[in-house]
This record gives sequence, C-alpha cells and structure tokens, in this order.
Amino acid sequence: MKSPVAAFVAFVIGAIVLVGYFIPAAPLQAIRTPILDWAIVLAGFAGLVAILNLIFGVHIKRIREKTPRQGFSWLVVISFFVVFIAGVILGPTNPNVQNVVTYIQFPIEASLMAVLAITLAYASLKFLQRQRNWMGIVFFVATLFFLVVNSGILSFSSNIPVLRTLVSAAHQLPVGGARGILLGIALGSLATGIRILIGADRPYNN
Amino acid sequence: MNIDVIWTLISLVLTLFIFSYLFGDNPVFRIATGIFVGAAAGYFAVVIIYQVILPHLVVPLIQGSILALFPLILSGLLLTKLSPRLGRLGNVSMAVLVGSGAAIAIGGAALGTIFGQVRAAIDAFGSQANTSGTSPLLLGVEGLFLLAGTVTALAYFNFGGKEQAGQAPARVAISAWLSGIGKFFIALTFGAIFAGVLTAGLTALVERADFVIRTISTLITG
Amino acid sequence: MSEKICPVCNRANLPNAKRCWYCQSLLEDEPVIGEPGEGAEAVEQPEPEKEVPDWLARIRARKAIESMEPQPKEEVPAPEKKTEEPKPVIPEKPASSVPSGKTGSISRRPGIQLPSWITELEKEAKPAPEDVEPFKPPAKKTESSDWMKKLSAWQAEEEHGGQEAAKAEPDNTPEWLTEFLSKENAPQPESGLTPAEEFNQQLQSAEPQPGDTEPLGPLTEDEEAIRPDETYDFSQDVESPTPKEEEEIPPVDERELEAGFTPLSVELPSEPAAKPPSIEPQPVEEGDIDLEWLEEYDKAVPKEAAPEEPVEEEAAAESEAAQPQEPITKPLTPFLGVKKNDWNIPFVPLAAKAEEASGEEETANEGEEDALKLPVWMEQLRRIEMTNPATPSTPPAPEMVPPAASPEPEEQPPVEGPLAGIQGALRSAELPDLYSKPPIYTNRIQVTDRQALRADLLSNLLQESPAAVHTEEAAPKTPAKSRLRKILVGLLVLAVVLLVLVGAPGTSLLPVLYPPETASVYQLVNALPADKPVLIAADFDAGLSGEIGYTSQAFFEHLMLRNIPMATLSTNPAGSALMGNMLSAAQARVSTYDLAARTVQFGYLAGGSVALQSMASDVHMALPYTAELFPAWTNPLLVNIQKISDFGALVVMTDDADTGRYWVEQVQPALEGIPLIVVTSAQSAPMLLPYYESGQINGVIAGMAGGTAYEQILQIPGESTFYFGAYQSLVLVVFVLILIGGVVALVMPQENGHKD
Repeated sequence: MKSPVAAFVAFVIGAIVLVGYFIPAAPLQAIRTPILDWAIVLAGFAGLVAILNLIFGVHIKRIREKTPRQGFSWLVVISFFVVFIAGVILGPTNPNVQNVVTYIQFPIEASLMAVLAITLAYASLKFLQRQRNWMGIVFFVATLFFLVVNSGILSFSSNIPVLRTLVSAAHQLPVGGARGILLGIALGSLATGIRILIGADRPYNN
Repeated sequence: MNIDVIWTLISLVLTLFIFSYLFGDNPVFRIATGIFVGAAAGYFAVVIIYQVILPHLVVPLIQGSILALFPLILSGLLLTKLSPRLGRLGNVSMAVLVGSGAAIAIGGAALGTIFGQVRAAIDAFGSQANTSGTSPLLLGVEGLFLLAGTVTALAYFNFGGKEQAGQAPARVAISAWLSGIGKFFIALTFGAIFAGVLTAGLTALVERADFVIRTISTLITG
Repeated sequence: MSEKICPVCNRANLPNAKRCWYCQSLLEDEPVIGEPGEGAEAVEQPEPEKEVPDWLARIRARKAIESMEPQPKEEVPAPEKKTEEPKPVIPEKPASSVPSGKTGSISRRPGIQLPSWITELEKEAKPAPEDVEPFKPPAKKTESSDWMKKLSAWQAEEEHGGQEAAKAEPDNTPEWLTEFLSKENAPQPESGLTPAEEFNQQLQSAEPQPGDTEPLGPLTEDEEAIRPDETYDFSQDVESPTPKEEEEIPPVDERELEAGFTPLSVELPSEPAAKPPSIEPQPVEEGDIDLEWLEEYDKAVPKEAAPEEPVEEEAAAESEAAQPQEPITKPLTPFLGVKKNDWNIPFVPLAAKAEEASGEEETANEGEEDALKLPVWMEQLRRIEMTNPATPSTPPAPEMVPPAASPEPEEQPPVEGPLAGIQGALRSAELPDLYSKPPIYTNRIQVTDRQALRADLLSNLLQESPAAVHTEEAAPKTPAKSRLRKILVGLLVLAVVLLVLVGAPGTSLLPVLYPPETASVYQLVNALPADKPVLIAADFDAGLSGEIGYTSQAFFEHLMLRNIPMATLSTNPAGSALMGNMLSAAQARVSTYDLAARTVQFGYLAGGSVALQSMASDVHMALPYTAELFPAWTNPLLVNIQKISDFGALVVMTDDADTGRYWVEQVQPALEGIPLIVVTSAQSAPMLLPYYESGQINGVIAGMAGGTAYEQILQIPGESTFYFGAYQSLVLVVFVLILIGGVVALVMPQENGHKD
C-alpha cells in the first residue's frame, strides 16, 4: 500500500467536507470551512509548482542541454521572467501588467480560437466521408440546423406562427440529450469521488 | 510613440503570427506561442502570489493565525513535488486537495445535478412553461421529448452486457433499444455543441479580423 | 452449474476451461464438480491428510531417537527444478493435525510409486532395530506415509551427519567421512545452492496452496508441464545430485570441521554408531540450552553436502570457531525477529537467537544469511527434539528429549522456560494460523468475467460511435493537396469576414425571436434591488473573451444603467483583467456609472469547485481581500454582505460547460433564491440549458446571438449588433461549406469509417 497516511488524510478530509453538505451544524462547519480554505491555498501552490516545473524543469533544462528547440525555450523563459519580475514589482492590478493579458495573452488565444474555427470548418467538409452511419448523419444534420439557429437568420419566422412555434421547440431539442449526459456525468463523478474517498483510487500518490 | 500604440502593434504582430498557422507550422507561429506561454505563466505566478498566497496564507500568518500553519506546512510539502526524490512527501498535500475535491464532486453531483435534473425530468410536463402561453398539447409533446431524451441518453451510459455463447457481450434487448434512441439524442446534443464551438470560434475570428482592420486602418490614417 | 476448481488457487472456473482463469494453471486433470463448495472441499482434503500426523510423529520419534546419530549427508535432496513439484505436495489446507503444511513436510498421494532413491534412502536411513525400538512411534500403519517415513529417516540422517548411515552401511559412509576427517576442501555445488536451501526454496515456492485465494501468476513452462500427480516424483531432482555428492564428497575446510565436526572426527572412525562427545547427554540446568552445537552443526551440514559460497562460509566458520562453545545460560525467547518471507517467520528467529547466543554476528547480506543458517524445515524438525512436552518448564538438553510421539495439539508446548513459545509454532492446530502466505504478485491484470464483459461491450459501442473515427487513417493521403484545401477554406472565410467588415459593416438580419432564457435575464436585471451589489464571476479564458465581451456588453450596460453596484471575482487568472476591460468598455457607453466607486474587485479565486464551495459556505473567508489587498468586507458596497445570498444576484460568465456546472452544483444551493444568471459562450450553452429548464439557472445569455438578442431587448445596439452581420456571414459560409462537403461525401464513395 502506497502512502497510507495520504489515503487516510484524503478520507478524513473528504468525509468532513462531504458531511458538511448534509449536516449544517456549526461545529462541523467550523472545521469544514478552514479545510476548504486550505484547499484554496494548496490549489494556488499547486499552480506555482506547475509553473516552476514548466520553467525550470522543462525550458531551462532544455536550454542547459542545448536541445534543438532551445530557441523556443529561450522565448518562454525570457518572457516569463520579464512578466514575473514586472508583476512582482508592480502588482497584478497595475495596468501595465494587465496589458500582458490584454495585448499578449488575449490576442494570441483569440487568434488560436479563430484558427481553430477555420480548421474545424475544413474538417467538417469531410465529416460524412468517414462517418456515414445514421448517427453521423444525425450529428451532421444537427450541426447544420443549430448553425442556422445560432445565426439568427430564422428571424423571419417570427411572422409565421407555426414556424415560430417550431423554432421555439427546436431550441429545446438538445436539452433532453444534454440532461441525460449531465446525469451520466454526475453519476460518474459520484462513483469516482466515492472511489477516491474509500481509497480505491489514489491519484494523490505519485 | 504612445505606449498603447506599441502594445497594439505587439498585439497585431502576434495575431498575424498566429494566423500564419493557416499555412502550416512555421517559426513565427512558434515565436508567438513561446511568448504567450512565458507571459501567461509569469502573469499567473504573479496573480497566485498576490491574490492567493498573500491573502490566504501570509496575511493570516502575520496576524498570528495558528490555523494558517496547516496550509503552510501542506504547501511546503507540496513544493517537494518538484523534487523527484522528495516528491512523495507531497502526497499528503495532494491528498487534501484530492480528498476535498472528491467530496465536493460527490456533494455537487448529488445535490446539484442529480436531484435537480431528475426533478426537472419528472416535471417536464409541469406548469412552468405554461406561463409562455404555449398550448398544452405542445407542452406535452415537448415534455415527452425531453423525458425520452433524458432517459434514453442515460440508458446509453449503461454499459452492462449479457454474454452470449460464442459472441461478444451485448446489451439486453430493452437496454439496446433505449440506448439506440439515446444515441439519437446524444448525436443531436453533440451537433448543437459542435455548432456552438464553430460559432464561438467564428465570433473570435470576427473579433480578431475587426481588430486587424481597425489597427491597420489606424496606422494608415495615423 | 458445474465448475472446475483450480487445484492451485482454488477458484471456480468454467466447466470447459482448460486453464484457470486466475492463475493459468492447467485444469484438465481436475475433476469437474457439481458444486463449488463441494469442489473446494474436495480439493481442500488431500487424501493423505489424515496420515500426516503419523509421519510427523514418526519424524519426531525418529529424530528423538536418532538425534545424536550421524547420517550420511548424500541423501540430502538437491532438486534442480525447484518449481516442478511444490504445489500439490503441500496439503492444500493444513488440517488441524497438520503442522507441516508449510514447514517442509510433504504428503504423498496413495498409489504413487516411490522413487528408487527413496527406497534406498529408507534402507540406509533405517536405524538398527535395537536402537529404534525403545522410541518407536505409534505403530499405526499408514498407506501413504512411506516416503514420509523415509523423509523422517532422511531428516534424521541429515541431523546426525551420517552417523547412522555409517552404522548401517559402514562400507559406504567411511568414504566421505574419511574425506571429512582428512579435512579436504568441499566441491562447488552444481546448482549454486546448498541442497537444503534448494529444498527450502522448493517448499517456499510451494506456498500457493489450493485453499488460498490469492491468484497465482502465470505458470512457468516447467509448471505447466507438470501434472499434479507428477509433482511427487522429485526423484529427478534428487537422484542426479545424490550420487554425485556421494561420490564426490568434497574436502572440507579445516576450520569448518573444527567448528562443526570436531567431535565426529574423533569418534566416528572407531565407532560409527556411537554418539559424539559433543552431544552426549549432559545435565542441563533449567533454562539452559546449548544451541550452539546446532548452529555449528547446521552450518556444517550444507557445507559438507554442497557448499554454496565457500568464502562466506569460511568466514562464518571462522567466527564460529572463535566462539567459545558454552551453553546458553539465558532463556531463549522465541520469535524475536522476523526475517525473510513470512513463510519461515516463526522459525528463523530461533536460529537467529542461537546465532546471537553463540556470538555470531549476522551479515547484512541476506544471501550470506541464507548460506549460514539452518534451513527452515530443518530447524523445525530440530525444534521437535528440543521440546519436551512432559516437562515444559524444564527444557532438557537435546539428548534427553524423549520421543515426541505426536505433534497433536494436546501436546502443549512449554509456556515457560527458554523454549516457551517455540513449540507453539509446531502445534498442529495453530500452525496454519501462524503462517501467512507470501504475497504473490503477477503482472497480469486480474480481470473478472464481469469486467471482461463490460470491456467488450464498451469496445463494441465505441466501434459504432463517431468517436471511433480513425483519425490517423483519416489523415490525408496527399498532405500538400489537403493543405491547399485548408488554405483555400481559410482564405475564403477570411475574405468573407473582411469583406463584410470593410464593405458592409453593421449589415445583418437581426434576431426578432428572443430566446426565453435571454428574455429572463432582462426581467431579472430589471427586478434587481439597486442597493445590493451583484456578484459577477469571470470564469473564461482569453480565447473566448471576445465572444463573451460581445455577449455581455449589453448586460453590463443594463446593470450600469440601473446603477447597480458590482463585485467581481475571477476563477481564471486572466479573468480579472479581461473583465476589467469589458466593464471599461461598457462604462464608456454608460458614462453615468462610476465604475471605480460602484465596483469592487476580489481578484483571483483559486481552487476550482472547492473554492466555489468555500465561497458558498463562507464568502468572507473565501474572499477576504480585494485584488489590491484591502479588506474587502469593510468596503461600503459590501458592508451588508454576510453571506453569498446577501448579494442581489450572482452572474457567472463562463465559456465552459463544466465550470458552469460547478457553479450550479456548488453555489446555487446557497443562493437562497437570489437569481443565478449565466453569460456564456455558444459552445457551452447546450449543456447549461438543462439547468435553466430545471430552474437552477434563472437566465442565460449565450453567444453572440444571445448578446445581440439582449441588445435588441434592451434596444441599445452595441458591438454585438454591429458585428452580427459579419458573424452571420461567416456562419452561413461555414454552413454552406459543410453542406457541400456532406453532399459530396454522400455522393462519392466512402473513404473510411463505418457504414450502417
């Protein structure tokens, strides 16, 4: 058994947090609330660990080892330290620091999203060539239909009562399936959470 | 030159670098992504320090909170994850995170989704839609449609099978029938989601195209 | 339903199974039984089980009788294939009277021919009748304990270092005894292990018993080739080395002989049957036992028969020789330590204690320990000699031990004295409890039938689903052509959007039908109390912040027009900055709204769903400070906020259905009726609409279409309305592209994938 202490901690913490959902007793909440606050701190530290590992464990290591793609790593490391030092000095709410998000992060991510849209559109061209079964056809037709719905060009239907009713009903079409999917996800989350709490799954062990 | 113009130019260049990916992977695309990764990581680190660690850990410690010692210790243990040799010490911290996350997932799924959605599925024929003035017949059809979609889509996630001699396990008849219908509803929902992804991306494309046009226009017109 | 019970792991298998599902053992020779329980019982009751006490009694009696008599060493079995025999040899489930299940005792099924070597061994080992008679064990005849008898004789022979053999067959033994006496060096063993160690390993490898529930790993080729009945025939294992060792008795190092066999060197040549001086009966005081002779003797035995590591053994012999052979004056405490595997846990400590008493230091290397220690099975047998059930409080010297006729439970071991507890390991009734089978690990995934069924079903389902598209196979065969098409599609899309944005900006077919969830938002905002701040959470990435910006602009303007205070937080690191830009853009159009005075920024809230639950439980603890690290709850806008339901509304701006779900699951129950409004991307709207239908979300603005609809409702055209034409154009272009692609695909032959 690997790290029984960790398993015990996970169980105790999980049990306290879980019971707090159903028993709103003040003493229990007095324990539960700090635990949740610890989790916030730990989540922050986990993010820091991930960043440190990215910079020092990956990119600086690549630079040291002079791998073929070390130029990319140089860019990452330099931009990281520039932003980090400026941010530590000025603070994250400083407009100049926030410009990093506004003028670097946002345009790049938005552009990536735009390129993704073009790529998806191209991929959609050949969809039915590969998936020509009835489920694929349903998916294909549904995609086209909801593209039209999302585009808003069915506005003209507002003048036709029957069509308006049908458009309104069509708006509800995905809800049934989505609800089933949500229930499936919830049941899966439930099972996974229980497995973690009882120690059957231990993702915290490295 | 105004600093904002510089920032805008940087943004324009980075946008064009990313769009160059339409012609395939290339160095300028990698330059843009490299800058993005480093800058985002740096900003993320600053935000964590200022808006998580300081208010939730450092300030309480300074104020003498004994309870803050626990996250301090746990955080210290978590930092050992950076070391392959000492990484196991961080398991306890990870256990706190995972244990609380698992409990949160259980409670949220049970109380938030399962109860709420099951009740909504039961009430699919309910009166809330009556306020819209829709005819009762249409409401009934709609409710039936939603209920059928919910039940059959859920049935699709039942992977229990019955063994047949010499054949691969297969669903029982009723389950196969329901899941077949469920696949229709799931395909329908996925189609809607895919259309949403496409439109979201296209919206981003509109926004970026507008930015490029406006920026170039500004540069040209001065 | 008839099932086959695996003889190895005792698990039920299908009737037609050739091999055990769990351990891969052959099942063909196992009877198909009617009921699992019956089968288990049948397997658990080996035929010779009832006879085990006899042989064990015989062993003990014989050992008690002959403990001081030397036996030839050459009969020590030195099996080469240690995996061939063990499993069926050991009783499946040690019965109440079977103390030997894991201590080296071997039972035999009736009808099995004894190997010739055992017969010879029996002849050799059998002492003279006059010697045995006074200590004869119970005269009950048994059917299948012949070889046990021989084993006991063999044990005794080994114990006595060949004295009895010398007595029985003086013509044979003097040869090696002479060699001993001549102090020549011992030869190297063929197997690399001493025979006793190999035999011990055989017994250890026989640990997986039919009664065990642990699955076994896959059998080796040797194991598979052996049927249960064949496993008793370990003559192959023994016959080959025995003559060799008989013929090639190695010369033994002088120091070893001095340490372990010095008395023999003096006594045996003249009178082989006589007892060596070192083991003459001596008066022993209570609590005093000289175990050192055992240690020395034990070490000498394997060395003589087949020394494994001469260097280490020499060192051990040196250390032994250096120790004064004094009787142990302090009582032995059994089970002091735990060593090796749990198979021999109860017994090894005795040897360790003896070593400790003799002053011998244990080597750190376990292999060295093995080389120096008495084999476990031998220790067990030896312990029988040292046990005097009649006088438990007065442990006798080994020479004075009367025959232990039976290892039955009624022969309770002494509870006091130096041997207290040692016998406990030998009590047949409790012996099984003292052992635990060593864990057997296998690299095979243990899959139950049910799991296999589900895996197959899942595989079948996936093959039918769209997710089963073979993406690698679907890769274009002509990358250049494919890239060209992709470039053309991209250029077409870009041309359309640029054309619309440059040529006809603001031209669009505006929505007239408003989604009910969007209309609900309008009503909710209108109903918000003006004095209560609205908590707005930014939970989106930068990539979709453009869409979220279009979607939320009219909503923000609506809030600002109503002069509602806002408190903002972000669950995404970049969210605060991005939402700040959106608020600034909205405020630019609603100049009456004092953004700095009417908003509070909490900053980034880490922790995902855990943080959301924390905030729902105690918003003060989750958000103690503003983004500028000022105490948040002393802000005039927030002084009346004690819990999250004190806000006027909760607005979640998200681009991810999962994070939207987290908000519903964790926070919505704590809202106590205040509205939950979601401003979301078009991609996550389908998965959030069920929550709107269920009433858990009170209003949704989804995507650019939703934002445009809200602007239409609000009758304040904004950016969303302005760019809606370009958006519509792009959507229609993509619609046409996909439609053409689909039609062409339906006309043209199928490339890959599945066809119903």
